Amino acid sequence: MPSETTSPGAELESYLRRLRWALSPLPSEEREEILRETRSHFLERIAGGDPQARFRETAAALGDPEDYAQGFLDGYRLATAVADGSGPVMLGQALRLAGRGFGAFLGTLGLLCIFLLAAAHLALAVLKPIFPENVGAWLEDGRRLSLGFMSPPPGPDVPELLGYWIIPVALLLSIGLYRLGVILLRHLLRSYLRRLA
Amino acid sequence: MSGVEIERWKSQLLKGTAELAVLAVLRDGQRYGLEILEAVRRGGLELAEGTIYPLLNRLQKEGKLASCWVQDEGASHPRKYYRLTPSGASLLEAMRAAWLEYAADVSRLVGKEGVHAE
Repeated sequence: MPSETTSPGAELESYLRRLRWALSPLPSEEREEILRETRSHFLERIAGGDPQARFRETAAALGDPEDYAQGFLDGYRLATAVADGSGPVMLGQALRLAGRGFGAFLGTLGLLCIFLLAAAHLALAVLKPIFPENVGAWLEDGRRLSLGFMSPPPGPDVPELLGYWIIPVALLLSIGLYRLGVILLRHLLRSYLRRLA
Repeated sequence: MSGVEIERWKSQLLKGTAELAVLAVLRDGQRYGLEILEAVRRGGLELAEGTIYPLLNRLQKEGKLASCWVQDEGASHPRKYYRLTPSGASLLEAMRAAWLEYAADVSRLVGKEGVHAE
């Protein structure tokens, strides 16, 4: 708590110092611009009134420097992840924000399932040359299609349909699922950005 | 619905419309942060003080707003003025049209006879 004898100038510098520290993940040019604008906002609010009281009102309205900085940091991290466009980077941000609501949690869970499916199909393509008998696409009972890894492999009465063609098929499915996941992730992160205010 | 639930619902509505409100108050020319906040509040939206600058920051990075520092006569410090870019003006028009259509649909729906609050 600021003491009664502290001038608003010193309190303002202290607020800005904490804000600068909280904004340290941002590029320096952006950080300095935010600090300059925050200082301008305080001076605008303080003008024409009791400086001490006005400072405290404004600081309370903006929130603690750390909380106030969070709005800029969230925006920066999300925008950077969307601009980067890679699945792992965007997924990292989605996981970080998954706890912020039921919708965010469900969306992230759905996306994780899509990426796990993509990884599973990639694993099939890699495992086929190593375990040719265990990886395949089998037609059980003449109607039920099973694609995957089976140990032990089904008996000779269950026909295997793809042979080594399963490698390109699984690779294509893996790439398709991954791309779908990336598109949906970008939409999810953009919707977070829109709702930051 | 309790008062708390209504406030939560209104805060969700505000989140969805804050961007449109900020773009709309810049339609008639450039303004600085506090002017934008006060114009939005005069319009009836209780935007929190701590959210206006992160929102302006994002819109600027997305190329919807441009800014410049101006030392106004009589002011003790420079102010950062924001204005719509052509891309921001297009976004505003698209959002405005979508909002008017949506608001008309919802008003028609909830204004219908036979729709009562439980």
